[in-house]
Amino acid sequence: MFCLLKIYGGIPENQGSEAFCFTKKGFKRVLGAFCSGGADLSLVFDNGNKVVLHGFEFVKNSDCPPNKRLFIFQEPAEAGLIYGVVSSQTGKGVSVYLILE
Amino acid sequence: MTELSKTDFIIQCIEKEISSDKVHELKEELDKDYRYLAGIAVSDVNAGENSVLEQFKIKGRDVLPEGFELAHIMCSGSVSPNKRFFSWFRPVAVSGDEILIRFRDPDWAQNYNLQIQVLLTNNPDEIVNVLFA
Repeated sequence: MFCLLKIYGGIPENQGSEAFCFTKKGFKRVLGAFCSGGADLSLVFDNGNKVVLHGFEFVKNSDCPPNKRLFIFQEPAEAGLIYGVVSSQTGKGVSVYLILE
Repeated sequence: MTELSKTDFIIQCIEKEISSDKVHELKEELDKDYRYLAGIAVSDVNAGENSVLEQFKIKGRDVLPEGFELAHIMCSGSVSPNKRFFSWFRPVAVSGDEILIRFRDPDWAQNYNLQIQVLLTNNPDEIVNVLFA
């Protein structure tokens, strides 16, 4: 079964780009990620050693089923820190979510 | 392939007239004959794309993270009906419990009827196969 977790929420401050890091115990795997439409997301796992997403743009698309809009992958959840960078030029709030198992 | 006979579910609609850009509260008791909430759907017909679910709670526990953008759940009529549900969360055990939704549409311009559909089932493992197919 899945757990949906918000790992970043805010307006990226540094010219629309902000870095964050995250760790969470009690889960086996990270199964996917998504963020607000119009934002670019980078995610690095394994204490900065494994790049999973690099400037991946999430677009708004209401013609796509909601369950299919995330980027799906599999990474161990307890393998150290997860680093991320989120970028958005919209000036609006951006959120980043992980799906954990 | 999931057998249809095992996919025991109903879709319960929760409605509220949205009359301003302030927070609106939706409260409703869920059908007591079903034991799990496994999906949430909203049509993109009325609500603005910057709308937010400030809270989505059952029994005081968050089903979705606070401040969850409605855009992640909304979909258009071109999506087939059984694919319109967002279900990337742990199915929530329910038993006629009250659902509390706090909704805000910052781009509100005129009154409209917000309809949030929740999928209730007694077989969450089976229904997930249909929702993610």
